[in-house]
Amino acid sequence: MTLAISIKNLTKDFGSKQALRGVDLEIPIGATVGLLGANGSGKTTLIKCSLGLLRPTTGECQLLGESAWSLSASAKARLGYVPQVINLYPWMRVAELIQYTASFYATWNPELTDRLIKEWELPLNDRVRTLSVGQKQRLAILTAVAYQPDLLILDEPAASLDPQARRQFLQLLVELSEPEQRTVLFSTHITSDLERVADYVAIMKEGKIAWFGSLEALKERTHTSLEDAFLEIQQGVQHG
Amino acid sequence: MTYVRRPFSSWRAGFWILFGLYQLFFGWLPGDGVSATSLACGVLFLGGALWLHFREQMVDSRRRLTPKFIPTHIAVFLTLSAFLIGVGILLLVQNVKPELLATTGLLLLLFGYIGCCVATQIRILPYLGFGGLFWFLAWYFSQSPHAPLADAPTTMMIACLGAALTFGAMAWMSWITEEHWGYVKPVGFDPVFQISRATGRILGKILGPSQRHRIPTTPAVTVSISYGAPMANPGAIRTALRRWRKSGASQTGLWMIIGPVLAWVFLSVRVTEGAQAPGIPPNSQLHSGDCLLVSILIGVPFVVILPALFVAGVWRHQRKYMEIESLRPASRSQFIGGLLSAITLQVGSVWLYFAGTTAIIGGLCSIEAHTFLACLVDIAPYLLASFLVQFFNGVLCLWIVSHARWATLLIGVAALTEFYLVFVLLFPLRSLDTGAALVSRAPAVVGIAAICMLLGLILIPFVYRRWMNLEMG
Repeated sequence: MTLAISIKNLTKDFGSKQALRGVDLEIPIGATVGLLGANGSGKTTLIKCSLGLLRPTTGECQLLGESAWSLSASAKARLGYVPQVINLYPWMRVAELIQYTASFYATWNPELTDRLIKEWELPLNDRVRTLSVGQKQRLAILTAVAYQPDLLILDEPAASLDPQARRQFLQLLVELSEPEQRTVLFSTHITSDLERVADYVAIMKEGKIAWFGSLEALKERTHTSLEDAFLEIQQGVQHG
Repeated sequence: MTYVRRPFSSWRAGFWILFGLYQLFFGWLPGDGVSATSLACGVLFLGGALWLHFREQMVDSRRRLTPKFIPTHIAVFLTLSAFLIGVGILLLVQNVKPELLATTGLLLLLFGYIGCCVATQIRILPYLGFGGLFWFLAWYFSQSPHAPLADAPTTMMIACLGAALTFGAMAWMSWITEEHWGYVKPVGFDPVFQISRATGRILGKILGPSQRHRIPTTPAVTVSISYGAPMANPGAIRTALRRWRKSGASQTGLWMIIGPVLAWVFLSVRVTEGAQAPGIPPNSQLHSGDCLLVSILIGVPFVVILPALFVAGVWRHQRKYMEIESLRPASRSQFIGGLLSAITLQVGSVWLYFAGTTAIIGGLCSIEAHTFLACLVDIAPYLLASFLVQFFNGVLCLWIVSHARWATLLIGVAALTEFYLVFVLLFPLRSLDTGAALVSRAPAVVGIAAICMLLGLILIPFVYRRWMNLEMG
């Protein structure tokens, strides 16, 4: 198995609205892929279909060599996900939520957990409902990365983080993506974040993959910054 | 238009409206006093929903930015209230006389009051109301010629016990929510908020903190957390228990409060119209037994209806967590199996708790123990029937939870309809003559309930298939 994620001709309809229109994407194991796209381009829908949270209308989606809709327990144990909308049990305390999540994973790393709690200053005794949006996002990231998944999928993980927390998160992401067998897919609006971390870039436009390739190839093609390249490709598809 | 739309966007208010409309329908059935009280309670439900919306609008920040916001809302609210709440109270005052106040009427009056409490969410109402209701019932039944409680000391004792239970429940709830007071702010004018907060804090200092999980923090920044053994590939039942317990859906404390209070309220209704057997004087042993039997039977509707309804309401909120929970290390079938098992376990446990408290509270307030035991034997088929129909209600709950928020209303309507079809139409409580009649009809009730159970079992594969194909995202 050389592909972490394999998507072939994926379409997803919500009633009369077609969110994904024939998406093809292959992400090799060990790659760090940044998913760029305008609002409503289908990034979150693509991520959810690849995780088996949504059922594709047509097409095929495989994750770690298994069908996304019917992932096995062992495949899910190697999968980490941070959703765009964070829903954590509001009545649990931070420490309780960490304990609860840890109980599911044999590969939970207590040292990494303690380190992140210390760096991000997460209040262990506070209930989740009393946390700020940024703190909840940090907690969600912690519970997704602490068991060192082989495939980490993050949907706009830095959207609510302050600059310092975002820098710490990006450093963590660089650290997490170092092992050769670990694959990271994250969607973002912030091109500077993507430039720091990603090896590959996938640009989505109106439910399709407009461009996929290495970051260097994208910059060489356009001879501009990533942000300008993104805008150029968006306009190119619009006119094309 | 918001006064029309808003009640139906809140499932709680919407449920009580539907229940009120349901009672309005049954209010038109012939019966002494029942139609008037049904009508009154139905419009009181609607009034409660209006009041809920009015209060929310009065604390809306837009009121300072929108011209004539407050006068418009006041005018609309008063107009609708005059036609709805005013009419309801007028009917109640004009038509409900003590000798016409049938048991079902009292039941509906209580539903109406609970509906207003839920809709208005004024904290003091439930506590004052329950306490006041106990006093009223005790006073009424001690003076009525139908009352078995002819002696004042027993009446006062029962009323005091009821009041103690009510205010004890209030204090207990203040204590267990003691930590919340620092984060909660009242909506609008709510003076009891301050009292409840003070009570909770005082009890917290006397009894200690209510929270069970204490993570020791040291001055050092690094904190060690005990993780326990990881749960790899657990079985369905183990997953169900763990998820049920950890996800907070058990809410045992809440049932410990609700169960005795509800059971007590209905067991305090110790007599119904026509419950006297011809030729048997009041306060006789047989009369007391019949009344106690009827009192326990009145608790049956809640044992039938409430478990699935409450559980559907709780698990409806859990839907938003299923996205991330479905990605835990378990296959789809394991996850769905564990989830459905957890919901089913909770329906069963709530039924068990309500049934148990109904029986125990009946024993606490019985005048003669052997009378109570005899009644308990006679009521056993009805409790068994209530258990059997839980299979259907439980499956309905499983199906409801997979649907949208509004679908929760359906379970209340469906459970009510089922209760009437199984327990009431076959054996109308309003025309009850003696306890012997209850016993003679028990086999038919159990038989119909068994049919409900089989129907529920047949529907399980369809519900499971729906969940297996449900999108969690």
